[in-house]
Amino acid sequence: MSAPQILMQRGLDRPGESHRLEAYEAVGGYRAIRKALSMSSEAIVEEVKKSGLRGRGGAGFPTGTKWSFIPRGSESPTYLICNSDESEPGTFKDRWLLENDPHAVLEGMMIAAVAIDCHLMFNYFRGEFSYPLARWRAAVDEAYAKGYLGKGIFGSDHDLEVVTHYGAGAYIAGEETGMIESLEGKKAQPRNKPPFPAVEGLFRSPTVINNTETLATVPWIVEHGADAYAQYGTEKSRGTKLWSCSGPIARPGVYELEMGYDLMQFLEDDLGGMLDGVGLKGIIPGGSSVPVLTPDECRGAKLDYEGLRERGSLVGSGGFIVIGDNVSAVDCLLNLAHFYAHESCGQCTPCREGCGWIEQLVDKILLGRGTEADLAMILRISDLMAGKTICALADAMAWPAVAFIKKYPDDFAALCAGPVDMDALAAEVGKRDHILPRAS
Amino acid sequence: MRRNVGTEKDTAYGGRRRSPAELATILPPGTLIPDLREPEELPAERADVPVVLEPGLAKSPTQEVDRGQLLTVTIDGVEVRVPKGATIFQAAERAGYTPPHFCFHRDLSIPANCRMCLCEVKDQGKLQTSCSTAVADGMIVAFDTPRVKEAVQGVVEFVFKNHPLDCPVCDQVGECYLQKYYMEVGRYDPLPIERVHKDKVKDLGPITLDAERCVLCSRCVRFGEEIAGTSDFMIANRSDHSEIMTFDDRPIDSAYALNYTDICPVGALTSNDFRFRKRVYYLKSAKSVCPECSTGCNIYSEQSEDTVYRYRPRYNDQVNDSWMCDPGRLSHARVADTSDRIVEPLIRRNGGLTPIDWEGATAEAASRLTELAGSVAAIAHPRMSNEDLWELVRLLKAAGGSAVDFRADDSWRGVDDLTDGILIRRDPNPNTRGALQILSPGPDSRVGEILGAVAGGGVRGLVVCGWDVETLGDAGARALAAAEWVLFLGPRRNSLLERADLVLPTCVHVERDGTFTNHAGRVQRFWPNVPPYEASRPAWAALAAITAALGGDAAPASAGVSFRHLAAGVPVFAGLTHETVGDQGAWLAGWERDRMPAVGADPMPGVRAPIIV
Repeated sequence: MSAPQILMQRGLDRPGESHRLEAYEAVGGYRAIRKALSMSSEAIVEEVKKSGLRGRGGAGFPTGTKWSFIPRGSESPTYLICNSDESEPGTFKDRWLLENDPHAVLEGMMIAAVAIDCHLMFNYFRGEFSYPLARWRAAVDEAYAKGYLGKGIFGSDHDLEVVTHYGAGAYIAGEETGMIESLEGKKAQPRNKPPFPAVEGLFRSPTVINNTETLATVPWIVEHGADAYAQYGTEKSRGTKLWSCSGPIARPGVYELEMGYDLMQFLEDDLGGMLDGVGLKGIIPGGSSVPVLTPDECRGAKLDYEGLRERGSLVGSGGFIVIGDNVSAVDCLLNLAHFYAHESCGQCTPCREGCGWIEQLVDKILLGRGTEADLAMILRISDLMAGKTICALADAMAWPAVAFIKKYPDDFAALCAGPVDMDALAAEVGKRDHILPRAS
Repeated sequence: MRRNVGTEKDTAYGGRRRSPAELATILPPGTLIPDLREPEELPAERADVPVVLEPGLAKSPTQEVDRGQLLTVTIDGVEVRVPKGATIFQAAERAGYTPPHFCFHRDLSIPANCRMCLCEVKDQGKLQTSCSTAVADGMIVAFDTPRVKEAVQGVVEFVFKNHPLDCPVCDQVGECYLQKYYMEVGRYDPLPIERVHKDKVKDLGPITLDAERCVLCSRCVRFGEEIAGTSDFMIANRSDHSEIMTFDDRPIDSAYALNYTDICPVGALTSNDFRFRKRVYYLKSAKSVCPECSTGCNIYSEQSEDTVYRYRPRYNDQVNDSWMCDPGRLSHARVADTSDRIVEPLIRRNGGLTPIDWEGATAEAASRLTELAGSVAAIAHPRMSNEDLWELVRLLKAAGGSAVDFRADDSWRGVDDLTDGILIRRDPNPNTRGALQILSPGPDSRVGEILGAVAGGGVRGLVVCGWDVETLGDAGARALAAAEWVLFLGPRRNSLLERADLVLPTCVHVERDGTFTNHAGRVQRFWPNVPPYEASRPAWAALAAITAALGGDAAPASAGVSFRHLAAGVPVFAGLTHETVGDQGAWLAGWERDRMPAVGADPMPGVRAPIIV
């Protein structure tokens, strides 16, 4: 192992009991919240800002900055939502945290609540997370029993309640404003921004929404200080990040890496390389929404926000999907398209109709009935979807679609019914690949 | 007086219109190019009236506009100034361009989900939805760019992905946004695509739902939540299986259900009352006012071959916003029903009523009124227009009579009572407020007194407008038995004709022009949509002719002239003319209001487009 164990140490040290409050406190748990309660809320926000912690849910927005957007002295109550609706294909890091270290998440939520003067916080669970939910509920019960939640937590004058809510299994409820709608009892359909949740979120009140992993990192930062955290990682991507790794690799699972870790070194050393007899076809580094990287692009890539962006992909939610050379890119894309076509909330026209359309066309190609025109159509549809909808789900469909055709044109051509003019296809890709993320 | 509020026109599709010549180059040879209906022009007599922009009356509780601060915005090179808080969409309308749209509706919250009104804003990478983006000073916006055009064309294509190509059998043709946009930006190369199938022809009581045609703009969902308060529709399922439906496919039980068919931009929701009765491009519209209650919703009356086929609401932010109730809307059937209309003037001879021409009838009335020498009283009707009532007052004066009232029943007491919190008022008459002002008959009804005087022989002649014997009751029966001469005016036969000595057929409101005064004192104008039925005449004309024959002033040449006389004679109408009343109405003097609450059941709907002037 290569990295400091900020997030995973407790879970790995005491498997089977790390989720209990006793075990958590035995290794210093709930010290950070006591410290936070003695600090001013501005000081907590400042500390988190200084640490350089960025949101681990996908967008990578600086956490302290997000907290600082909450208006001080607002007449409406302030809410905190922990986003545990981890539904991105390939991502299962939050599940690990909730199963093995729920108290870290809870303590992180408490600190965030103190920092933004919130007295009612929510943890929104993915509907399918029954085991993590049970562990979480047990942890909350323990905390209430000890007086860590409820009236005057830890003997302070800060009242704090937590509501555990679990969704009905909609990917889009993981989008922050979709989550707010869902918590309000409505269909999870993302809202137009502005207004941003920090101004008008849950029940039209200022709201902070953070990813589970982000919040679980906060206690360590408060306890050890921003500088200690900022020592890890690169200049713009501080600290560590969890990566949930799947695919034909020797040791799949959840890993904690220092930001800026070398991608190929991770694959070869930590993950144990590819399974015997399987070559590397590509890696989707940040969950199903981000563009795939070819082996060439992987070589020398750094696992951090800037490093992956420079290669035309994103950190996303850290769903590290390794693709073997025994599968067709068409199959991969169909799998993703099927997912997005099923999960589009159906609000915006381009995404609602486009995701299903792409799935239809990819399916047609896989069945050997597709043509060059269908490939051009997929590219065109992707272009018409990306950046033209309320939330980023349309982009999450469009990016992989363009990236897969761009990077594995032969796989697609091989399955098409008629001949495919590879130069013409490359030209089509050239017209549409401006939608892909690029180094800023 | 015309307000620039949200979409300027009632049937504003937006988008640019391809000329028929341009379409001919795109469509296969021989294709019939439909003539898509444009918003109605103002009546000719109004064309030269200058358009006056009044200071706007803020009413949206959710979004404030700072009228003191005007921002300069450039839309496709045209510079316009709009108040702070206005949206790009509204600024574009100022600049003469209505962006294409499905989901945006000026009286509903803004979801920005159809993605049709996209525009490019200088220095912003992504395309913006103009309906939901507020303007900033110096903003430079463009709709006429290849990027925007491709995106809008893409949205139209996306919509068509799962939309049936059934225009020939769709009743929305001619007022379909999708059809309009396809004509303008469609690619005209239909692709063989597998469509998602949804339910067709679901009968929901007053309306029919065709889910396949739905573009999921969510206007119906928002209307149900924000205006009707009945939340009839929801969008079930996700992605391209999204579908509007009512819970358990239950029929809609709402007095506002037919508004769903107005706001549906496509043929997904159609009115069971109107669908397949008439193609809309055969309809001729006139601006009118609903005569079914004292609210006085602004409407269009629409006819073909002199039959009124439907009413639909006409925008007025002081009265009904964009809505009207179903009972009011369905009352077009009553207008179209001529089975009980009086065909021509009738005179009682030898115990029976026989036809007589208007000259004879007018002369007869004048001579009988002269004989009565002032011993005459009248019972007016609150369905009569302001002009009718004024001419009745003039006639009585010329004849020397004086006693007049219109409150033969108790309905007038409900003139202000909003029964459902939305639009429907208890008083089922359109002009009770006008009658109270013009006849100024005191706090309580004098009808009993009048009838008593007639029954007792103190008054010998009686003019009855519209009322029947049953409503006038026993006192009425005694009065009618005792009266020497009874003149009846009204559009329809009723039991009073058995007693009337002279019967004058009058026009219903869609056959003539005039004004009503609604409960709140707003004088509102209506225009003729169909010719008068047979020999019937507007009541004001019939009454004024008799006045002239009695030796009074000459009959006014038009309802407008009559109204001018009314304005000179009744102080609360001072200064008003048909022209200043216009198509949005005007307040009676002393009745002005700064702020009318927005119509709707939800006191806190989402953010709507602000009223900018």
